[in-house]
Amino acid sequence: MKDGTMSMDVDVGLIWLETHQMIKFTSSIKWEKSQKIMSNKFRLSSGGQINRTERISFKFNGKTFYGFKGDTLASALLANGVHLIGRSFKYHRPRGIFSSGAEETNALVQVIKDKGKTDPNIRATQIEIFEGFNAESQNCWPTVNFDLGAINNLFSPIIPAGFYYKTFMWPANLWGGYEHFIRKAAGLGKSPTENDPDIYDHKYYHCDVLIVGSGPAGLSAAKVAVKTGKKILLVDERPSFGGNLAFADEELSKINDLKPSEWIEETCTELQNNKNIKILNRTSVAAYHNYNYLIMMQNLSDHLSEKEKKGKIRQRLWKVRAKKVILATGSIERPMVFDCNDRPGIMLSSAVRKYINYYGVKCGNNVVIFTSNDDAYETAISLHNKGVKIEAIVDIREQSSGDLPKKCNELGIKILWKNTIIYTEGYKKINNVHVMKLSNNNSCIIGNKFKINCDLLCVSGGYTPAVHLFTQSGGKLTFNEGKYYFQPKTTSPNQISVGSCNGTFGLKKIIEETQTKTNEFLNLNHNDQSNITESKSGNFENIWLLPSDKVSGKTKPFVDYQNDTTANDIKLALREGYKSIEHVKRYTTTGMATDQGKIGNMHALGIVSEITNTKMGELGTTTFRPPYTPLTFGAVVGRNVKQFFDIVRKTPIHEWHEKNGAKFEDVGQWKRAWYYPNKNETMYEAVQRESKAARNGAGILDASTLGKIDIQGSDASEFLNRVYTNAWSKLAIGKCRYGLMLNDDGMVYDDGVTTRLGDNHYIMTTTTGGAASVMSKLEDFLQTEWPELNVYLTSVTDHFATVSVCGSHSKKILEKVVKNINFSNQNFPHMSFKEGLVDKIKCRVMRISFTGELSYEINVQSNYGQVVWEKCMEAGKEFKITPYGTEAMHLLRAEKGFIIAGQETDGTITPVDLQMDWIISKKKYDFIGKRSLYRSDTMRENRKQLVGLLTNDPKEILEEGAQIVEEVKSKPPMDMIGHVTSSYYSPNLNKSIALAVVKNGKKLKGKKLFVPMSDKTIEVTVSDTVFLDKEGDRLNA
Amino acid sequence: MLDFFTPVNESQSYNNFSMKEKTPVAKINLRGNLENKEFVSKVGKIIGMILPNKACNTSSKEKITSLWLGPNEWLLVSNNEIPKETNIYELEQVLFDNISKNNLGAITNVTDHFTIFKLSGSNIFEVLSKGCPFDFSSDDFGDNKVVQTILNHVDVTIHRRSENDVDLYVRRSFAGYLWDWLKDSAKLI
Repeated sequence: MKDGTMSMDVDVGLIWLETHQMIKFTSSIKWEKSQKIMSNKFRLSSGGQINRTERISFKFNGKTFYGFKGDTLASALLANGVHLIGRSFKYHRPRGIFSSGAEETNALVQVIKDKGKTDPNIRATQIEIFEGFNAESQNCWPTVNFDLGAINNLFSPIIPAGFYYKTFMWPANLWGGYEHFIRKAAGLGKSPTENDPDIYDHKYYHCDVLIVGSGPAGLSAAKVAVKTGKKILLVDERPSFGGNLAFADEELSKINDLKPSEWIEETCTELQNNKNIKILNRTSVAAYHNYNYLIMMQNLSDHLSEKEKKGKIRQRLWKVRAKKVILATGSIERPMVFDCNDRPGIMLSSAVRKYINYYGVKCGNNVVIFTSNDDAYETAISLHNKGVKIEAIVDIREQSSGDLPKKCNELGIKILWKNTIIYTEGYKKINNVHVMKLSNNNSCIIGNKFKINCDLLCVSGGYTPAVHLFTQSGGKLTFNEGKYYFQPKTTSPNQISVGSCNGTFGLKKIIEETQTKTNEFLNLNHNDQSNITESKSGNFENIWLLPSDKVSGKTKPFVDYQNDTTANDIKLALREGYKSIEHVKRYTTTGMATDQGKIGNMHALGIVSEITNTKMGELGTTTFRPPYTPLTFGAVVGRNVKQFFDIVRKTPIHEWHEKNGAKFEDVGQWKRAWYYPNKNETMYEAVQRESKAARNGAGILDASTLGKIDIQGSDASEFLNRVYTNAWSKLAIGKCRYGLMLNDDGMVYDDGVTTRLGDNHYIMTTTTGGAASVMSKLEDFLQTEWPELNVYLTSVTDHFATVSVCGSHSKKILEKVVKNINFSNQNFPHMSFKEGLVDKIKCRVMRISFTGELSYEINVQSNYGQVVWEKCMEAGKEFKITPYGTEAMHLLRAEKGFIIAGQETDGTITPVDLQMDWIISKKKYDFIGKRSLYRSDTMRENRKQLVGLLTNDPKEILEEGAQIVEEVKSKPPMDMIGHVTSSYYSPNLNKSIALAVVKNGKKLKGKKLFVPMSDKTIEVTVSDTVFLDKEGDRLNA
Repeated sequence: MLDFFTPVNESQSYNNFSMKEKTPVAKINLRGNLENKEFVSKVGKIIGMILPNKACNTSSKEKITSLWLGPNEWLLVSNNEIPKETNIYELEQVLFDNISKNNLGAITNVTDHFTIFKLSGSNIFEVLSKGCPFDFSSDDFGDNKVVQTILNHVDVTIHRRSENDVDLYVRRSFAGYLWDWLKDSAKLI
């Protein structure tokens, strides 16, 4: 805490600055609006690969700027001198553009589109501008220049890692209050408020060789791979090809006497003319799964103007299966970790090189370069040659044997060997650096502190191979002790890594090694001799956390910029006992931001390794998880939105239901007619009317959705004996029987009526929702448990439409429709089947019932389903035939106490629990689930058993799912002994009826129980499960 | 004659891709053991061809095409349209009497279980690749090959007659959904 108070002094000045601006706040908005379009004063007059003939105007934070076609938001803003982009997540520190690609950790913006449509957390370094492009800063209020949240920076010493965990742990009941404020403060960016109108698409793709990355390694690999004559796919996340070579200094290296950009162009043209290769730009591999299955996102129109975008697909998700994969994902430059290394104007050295060479933008006028390697000298030379003043190069090394430092010396650039930066100044933009000499062993600083003024600091802490995809695929890493990075160790036989992602650096080495490795990998022998000139590189030195002249509590050496994790937070985590790197990560949130630690992770590991004195190789890394860069939800979902959100299945009679005003219910993927309301009728009224008509006159139901399985073979009867609980061998041809199917555990799984069509031929019906799983379960048993049975199953669910006609007049209706069947009770009794003809169309008629009413089902080929339905309607007109939906059907069967598998049963109910002991054959040797029925638990007397419930007030309808108690207490908890499974008002009995499962229910008949609801307690009496026509007179009428 | 309603009854044309419902076509599911010589010879005699015994193969005669669906399962399809006024098929009867009734295998009429979308044009596989994980460019999937796979989560059987001529079998209840999905995908080509 003492440290904390002291360092507050440092930050008070910053807060004063903020407050001072508050006064000016209102006027400043007006000022911003009236300001003229700013000029590209940081744009070089020539050079770079942007299209200078196409000028683009765009908005950032309400201000209008212009850039050129080919600019990213970052390059265009830098050209206008804008560095300050946003505020950090926790301390709201001003942050600027740090990198030039997917690794960006600071410059996240909110892209504003039409009303309510916006994309948060877009990396300014990747998004390309177009005419009318509009973006805003994130994580600041009211503006990025004046952010009230910056007060957090003042309190930063008292809110270190783990602050929220510790502080808001207790008292637990106050969490609700904390949560409100924490949630408000948390999170980056804003979600869109409107539905996303964009089109997203999916594509499956198969290729022989997939090459990821188009840098010198990727292009060299592609040049070799096309020689196979096979199907090649080359992808790169950037709009253009060439990787880091695309912005190399044009004078320093040559390939076959070509400048880097010329070589890239020549190679790409050569490849594009080859029909075996498909090349995709703006396509980022998000995930690399087992067996070379990769997910990639292609950006098709984010770079186009609103007008050009119209009707086009925004993004496409590629699902690629590649026989072989060549990873050429390159490497990511590392920063340096020292006090206040996060200010706007502090950038990666390679990024600054890209902005000057590729975009023609200088990121500053007075530059300090801070490095540990020779690569940053190339940036210095590029800047120097383009007229930018290099104030000094601060190098932590003793010296370098490389060519580039020598060249800098010749150019008169000041190099400060064995020096380090210990602090930077400048609130919204860097304005100077503090430099001191390093001690011999790099552990501390010596000598006098001095300042160098600058407006840009380029940092280079060496390169880390981008091994994300490699490890996602299951590859193992090894730590290179001399070079301080993890590199691929073991690779699967169908994958190689080439170039700097494999730990190979230097243009000549990369190209030559890639050629050799690719030839070997693809069994080829094509070596193009390339003549490569490049500068000799010197040694590399590494310090994970640079020494400081202050005590560590007073410093802010950022490791994870976006999540505001400093080296001190990591030290704190270690002091508090977190040893595993995975724990340190979660405690400090380092590497958990949207950049997933691309910039800072190595330093976090390095600091842990140093403090715990563990070797990096033993420490390991945190897990690299997909996606490499964030995916949009739109791309993940593709076209499976709205009408394609889920599969819709329709019966052959669907159109009729629609025309006749049916309301539909989703049953599995089916749309089933639920009820058919007459004008102004409520659902309750319609169902009451339909249920009454079905009993007293005639009702008609579409039962086509029931699963139907055709069973044939000499062992068909034996098969049914094993599948159902009851016996089947003696069922006569032409007769139907109801069966219950159990799981191995003895619980009811499915039910339905099966009809014997011939000696060895049955047709089984299943529940609507269970059809597919029953079919695969039965097929599974046949193939794996009972291969000795000669039985064949064929699904015919969709082949038949099923029209079910019930009610006292149903016989007369059937007689009119199916004229060649004698419907007399004698000839065609309940639970039997006849073949019939409707016109010249063969159909099957079953006299079976799910309503307990006289009832027939006509099964006819689906294409004739609707016309047979209409014929029944026509024939039933004189009896006022009424179509009824699933709701009335449920009511009707409840009156009879018939169960619905999935409503009365829930996977814990045996047939005995259902009081259906009669359906369990005692004589059969075995059936699925038999053994489980004799376990002590399934034989227990006080299991929940199916009973009927009658409310004392016959008008009172119970709620399905309501709990049942024996004894009512003034408030919960009460002993719950069961629950209501089905409940209706029966229009045929003029009272409320319900089915329920109740502990020991079998013995409770006549007993009074209670159903406590939130506003009242309902008294009920346990009854029989059959409420209507116990004798079954109606069925046999 | 009874009215007859197919699930789609529509045809559509897009950029090098057109689709129409092919109906009515008789479809008979055939199950049996290839090692049973009696089964093989009886089926061979009745349909006048040898059943394909290799995965994804088909064989065709003047009236019937047989599609391999599994080691003991085939789909027999009439090459031409059949009459709508009756659903009594002579071939089904003969096969049922000879195979099913003699316990040599199983004959099941699945004519209305599936409907067939006839797809044509050079963009067929471009459209299908939006929802189907199968590798249509594989050397193993040439003309006259058949594969059972999924298309935007729906079970389908795809019979490639030639590069620009494909029969897509889909269960009737899924047909409307899949038809709409195909239209949507074809529009995006």
